[in-house]
Amino acid sequence: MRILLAEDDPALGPELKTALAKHGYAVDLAVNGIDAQALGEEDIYDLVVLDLGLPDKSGLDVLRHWRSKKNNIPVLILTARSAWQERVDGFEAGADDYLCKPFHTEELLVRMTALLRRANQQISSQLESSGLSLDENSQSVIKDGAEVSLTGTEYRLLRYMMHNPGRVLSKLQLVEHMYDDGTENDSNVVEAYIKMLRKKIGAELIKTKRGQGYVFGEPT
Amino acid sequence: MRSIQARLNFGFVLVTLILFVVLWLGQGWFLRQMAYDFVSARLASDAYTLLRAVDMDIGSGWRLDQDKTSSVYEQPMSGHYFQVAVDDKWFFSRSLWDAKIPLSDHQDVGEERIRLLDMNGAPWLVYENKFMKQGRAIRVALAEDVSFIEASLAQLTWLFAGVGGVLLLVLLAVQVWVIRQGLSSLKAVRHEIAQLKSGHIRQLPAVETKEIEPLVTEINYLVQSMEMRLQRSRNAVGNLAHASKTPLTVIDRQIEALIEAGYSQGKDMQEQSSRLRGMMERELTRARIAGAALPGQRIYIQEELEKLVRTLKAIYREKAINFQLDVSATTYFPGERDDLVELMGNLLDNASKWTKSQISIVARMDDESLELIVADDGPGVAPEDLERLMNRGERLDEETSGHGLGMSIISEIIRQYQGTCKLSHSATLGGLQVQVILPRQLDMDLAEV
Repeated sequence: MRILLAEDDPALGPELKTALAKHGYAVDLAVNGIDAQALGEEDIYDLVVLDLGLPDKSGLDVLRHWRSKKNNIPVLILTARSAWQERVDGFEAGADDYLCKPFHTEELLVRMTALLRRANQQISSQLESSGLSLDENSQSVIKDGAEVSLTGTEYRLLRYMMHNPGRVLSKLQLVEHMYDDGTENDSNVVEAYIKMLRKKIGAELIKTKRGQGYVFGEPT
Repeated sequence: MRSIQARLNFGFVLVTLILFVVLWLGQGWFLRQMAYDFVSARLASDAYTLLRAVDMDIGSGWRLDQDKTSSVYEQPMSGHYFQVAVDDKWFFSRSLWDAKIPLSDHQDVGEERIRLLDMNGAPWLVYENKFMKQGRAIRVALAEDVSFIEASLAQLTWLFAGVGGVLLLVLLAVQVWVIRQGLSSLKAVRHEIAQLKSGHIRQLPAVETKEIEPLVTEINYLVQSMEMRLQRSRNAVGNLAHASKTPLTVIDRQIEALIEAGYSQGKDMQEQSSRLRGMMERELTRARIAGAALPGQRIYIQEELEKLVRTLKAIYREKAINFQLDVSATTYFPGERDDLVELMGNLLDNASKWTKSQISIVARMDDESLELIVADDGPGVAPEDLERLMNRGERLDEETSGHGLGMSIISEIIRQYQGTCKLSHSATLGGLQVQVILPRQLDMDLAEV
């Protein structure tokens, strides 16, 4: 899952980025409105955590700009502005959720998970797909009642695939959603991780579409 | 309270009355003077006629030739009298009968004396002179009863008073009319200020009257500057909130890290930080409440409520709450938009937290007040707790975590707008029902123009 974090505070931004990375998110940090707007249009992010008081261009304007361009990326507004009028403005501009500062990391994570699930039309509270159940706390997966532990990269890869079951996912797409900008990455490593995942959860769950990419999900 | 109209009328009546009295006295004196002058002049000319009538008759000495005097002196009590003295011999006009004209003591030759005497209640104008004729001193005294002058003067005075009184009334009526006309633009402004206050207009329209124009300009300036000041202070509060909350978030996160690393002080720090956060949030929200300070506000409730409901549906998406809105399109809120949204946001947020699936919102408006009712189908509040909640304005949402301001903000807004709030059991939905009544105008007197 790749997250765009738009936060201008020099302390909170990097700190939050680290905290989210610890929970298996690939995070890019934008420190002003112009950058955030440009990055949000790149179609590689699964979610945006948006501060409203950004320099250069306010978060609300950035959000309105995206929505006017039919960019439906899930947006969670994270702001110090807690008046109801501001909340209404946020939702009217097209936000999917609104969290007021100060906040607890757990609450942010819960909201982000819920939002990601909703964006992929998943109703259940646990991320479940094709007989697999993802445990976000221990970053492991439960298959047929048995817990299978995953490495960080495997967890990120599997979570993204489970969020998008039945869809063809290219290597590039997978890489984009697993890593942030600052990480050296090579789409070839995806093959290696897919191989490892197949060993752990069963080869039948991840199929290769030659020349296109991979599809996650039980054969129908 | 003094009325300009009454003051102007009083001043006018006073000045006019003084002028009238002066004129009245003046004309009496002037006419009397004129009449007396006229009578004196005639008496003087009669004196010469008399002088000519007095001559020396060979044999009987000095005599008065009656033929040469006017016949009015022959008629008894005619009102015209004379008496003439040659040396010490006196001649009296027949009209005098038994009476005598009182004379002054000593008189030089050629000295004219005119006096007004009271003769048994009748005013007499007396003319006296002393002439030399053929070497003899001749004293002449003529008198005329001038009661007729006094009578006609009295008549004239009454006439004058009557005409003057009528004129005074006419003038007063004209004056009242003129003042009314003059004050009409002031009245118009008063009416417009009432409209400004009730929210029909946002600025006073320009006026033609020179004296009132600066007043209107000043009021408009005040309204504008108040609006700007409110905007500024709100922005400042918002900025302060933003500026202080982000560092507080960072501190909280550091504290969490400390707790995770096993430092026992972390818990205490967390508690203090959360207290600080609560206080700040409460004060900032309170400071944001404008109250019905600004005139010219008219926020249509339906539109705002629809937006709020959309927002709450997004926040409580999992609950799939069904909101029933019963709001007429013309119902408006007599204050700041932010206050309405804050009030309804908190009311609906409380309802959303407790509801199972149904929330009903009613907004009604009559001539005096705006009534807002929010009811839910949640567990409701026990009757004894209702009392406690209303009396102390305690927080309804204490048990549910979140921004945690709820009831205190609601009651603060209601207090600012001088409204009332009533909590009860909802008959239709079974949960809590909150009824808020806000007066439409804080000062009803001003609207009654």
